[in-house]
Parts: sequence; structure tokens; C-alpha cells
Amino acid sequence: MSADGNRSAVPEAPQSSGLAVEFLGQAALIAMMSGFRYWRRLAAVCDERLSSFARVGLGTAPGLSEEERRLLTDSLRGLARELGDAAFQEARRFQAELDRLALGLATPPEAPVASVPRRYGRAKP
Amino acid sequence: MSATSALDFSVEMQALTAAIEQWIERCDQELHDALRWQFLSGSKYFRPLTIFSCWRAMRSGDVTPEVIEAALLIELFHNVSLVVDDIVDMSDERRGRLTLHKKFGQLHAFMTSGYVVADGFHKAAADPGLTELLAELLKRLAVAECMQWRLRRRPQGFEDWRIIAGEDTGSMFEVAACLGDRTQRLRRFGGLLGLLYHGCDDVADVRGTTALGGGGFDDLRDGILTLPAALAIADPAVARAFADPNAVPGEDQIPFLAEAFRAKLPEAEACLDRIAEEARTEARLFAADPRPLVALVERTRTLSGASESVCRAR
Repeated sequence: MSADGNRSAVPEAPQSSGLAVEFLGQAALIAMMSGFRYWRRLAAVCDERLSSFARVGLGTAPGLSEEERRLLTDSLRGLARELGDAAFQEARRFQAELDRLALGLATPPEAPVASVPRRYGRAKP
Repeated sequence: MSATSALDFSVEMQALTAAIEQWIERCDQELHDALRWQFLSGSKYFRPLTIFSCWRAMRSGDVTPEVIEAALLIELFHNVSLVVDDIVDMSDERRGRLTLHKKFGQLHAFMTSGYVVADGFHKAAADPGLTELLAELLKRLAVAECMQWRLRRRPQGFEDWRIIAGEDTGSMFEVAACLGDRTQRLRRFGGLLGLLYHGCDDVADVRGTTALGGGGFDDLRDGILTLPAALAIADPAVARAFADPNAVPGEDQIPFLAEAFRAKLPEAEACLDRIAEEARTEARLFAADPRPLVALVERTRTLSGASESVCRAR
């Protein structure tokens, strides 16, 4: 808003509000898809790891052998790593998609190539 | 674009070779012979190749002189790690010729590696981001080597191998990826590529190939946790032979362990296929043009010496 407050009397250009709605809609869609991908990936990771847990009875069976205990421990650590990897990768993917969306907003393809503005002021000595 | 053309960096490699030669010429004359011996002796330049591939994956246009300089620096630091490794391992040969310390003596080798590190940081001083990445690399390599040695002959598993390999070779390729693309978007790709490279080296050693110039026997004798070892020691009998800290594997145990590791090669290849797929996924998700990176993964995957596995992965 300008210092004299005149700006508030000027209605927003329709295309600006349309732009905001479109941007927020696309961002919401990206967020929703990201959440969906994340939960689907978690399900896939758990599903894949469950088979290795099932082989050793989820560690609840008495008399777990040394080999079974080692396999179970390694598998649990693998599960923890993969769950972390899934979150980390999805967060980066989400961020990259939002960046692309924001970049498209900042540099619309139809923007004319403006002449380089001249600076009239001088730098302080 | 074919896999071969995606990795065609002949112009950049020529520029890199010229940069190395010019750098040697500017170094103190006392070290010229040692530096020429170490740096102009048929390096595979896999780390510079990673830098160039990451550059091409994220932007169009020619590779800039700054990127060539980064490739030179990673090659300098990589060679320092090789010289130190060769001294510690008491290796007589690398790349089919005498190692630096065998050719020039230990003092010369240690001092040359110190000189290279100092000059590398001197060259990078004008670029704080570059300096930070190189410092990260050397610190992580140092920690990884100590960790690998501390954890030798321990009954560890695949997840432990992933951590060790990820910090050792993985850190080198992570930094290489960041040097090729400073946005850090390919850092994870680089780490996975390094993990794949390390695993292929482990498997090739057990298979008995000399594709990467490694030494499977030395790892076995020292109880180093390679990928086949990490899989094989799930068997308690193998774990006892491998991991017993009170009994250095004798001559009779070495063939037993070697056979147990060989039996795990198909499983190890399957692990490598999964790591390769993780790397491809990273490339597809985060690179503007994933083709050079996918081609790099395919080339790395061949280093284990199992062509049929590579065909399956493709």
C-alpha cells in the first residue's frame, strides 16, 4: 500500500485474483499428490519388509536363533532407513514441484523483454 | 541420445588432462616426477565424469572453466586418498604400475599428498562453497576410514555396510555431484552412485576380476565389511570365522570365507540392482535431463563384472 492510502481504493485487477486462485489451487493439488505418494510409498516399504519379519515371527517367537535375530535387526534398521528416505525424497520432490510452480509465476513466458533500466543515481564514493 | 553419447565428454576430459598437466608444471619442481607418476598414469577419471554428467543433467551449454577446475580438484583429492590407502595397505601396485610410495619412498609419498591437499585448498580459496565441499569430503573420508577399520571383523549386516560405503566412496561421489551442480539437488544421487561403485568394487573383488584394481584377499584377511561379507555373515558359522576378534582367519579359514562370500554373489548383485534403481529414480525425479545420469549408473553397474545382471536392470 502506498503512503497516502490511495492504493486501497483501487480494486484488484481480476486477472490478479484469478492468478492467486489458480496458483493456490495448483499448490494444493501438488500438496495433495505429494501426500498421496508419500503414504503409498510408506505402504509399499512396510509391505516389502513385512515378509522378512514374518520369516522370524516378528521376533516374538521364543528361542530366536542368532542368525534370525541378526536378520531381524538388520531388517528393522533397513525399514527405519527406508521410511526416512521416503520422507526425505518426498519432501525434496514436493519442494522442487513448488519451486517450479513459483518459477513459472515469476517469469511468465509472455513477458516482454524489457530494456535494461537505467540507473540515474550514483554510488556513494 | 544414446548412453554412449550421453557420456561423451571427450572435450572436457582433454581440458581436464591439460589442466592437470598445467597444474603439475606450476607445482614445485622437486615434486614434478612424483606428481606426473601419480596423476598421469591412466586414471579412469570417474569422479570428474560424475561432475560433468551432473552439470549436463542440470543445464545446457558448454562446461565452464570453473567446472573443469572443480574436476581437477576432485581428482587431486581422490589421488591423495589413494596414496594414503596404498601406504596403509602396503600395496605395491596400482593401475598396473608401482604405487607412489614404492616408486619414490614413503616420505616422498606422504609429503606429496600433503602438498597436494594444501595446493588444492589454495586453488579453491576464492570460492567458499567449493572450499566447504572439499573440506567436507576430506573430513568424511577420514572418519569413514577410521570407522571401517574400527568395525572390522564384527558381525555387522547390510545396513552397516551401507553406512560405511556411503561415508567412504559415497561421500566422494556426493561431493562430485554437488560440484557439478551447486544446487545440491543431485547430492543424494551422487551418494547412491558412490554406494553402487563401492558395492560393485566389493563384488568384483570377490568374483576375482581386476576391473577396478582392488584386492579381495586383503579385505578378507583384514575382516573388512564388504557387501558379500555383510550378506554372508548372517550365517553364524561364517560370522564366527569372519568376526571372531581372538582368531585371525588362518589359511584354512580363508578358503571357507571366500567360498561363503562367492555363494552370496547373486544376492549381492540383487542388492546392487536395487541401489542402481534408487539412483535412477533420483535422476528422473531431480535432474532436468536425467539421461547422462542414467547412463552413468549403467556404466557403474557393469563394474561388478555381472553383465547378465545389468541386462536385467535395464
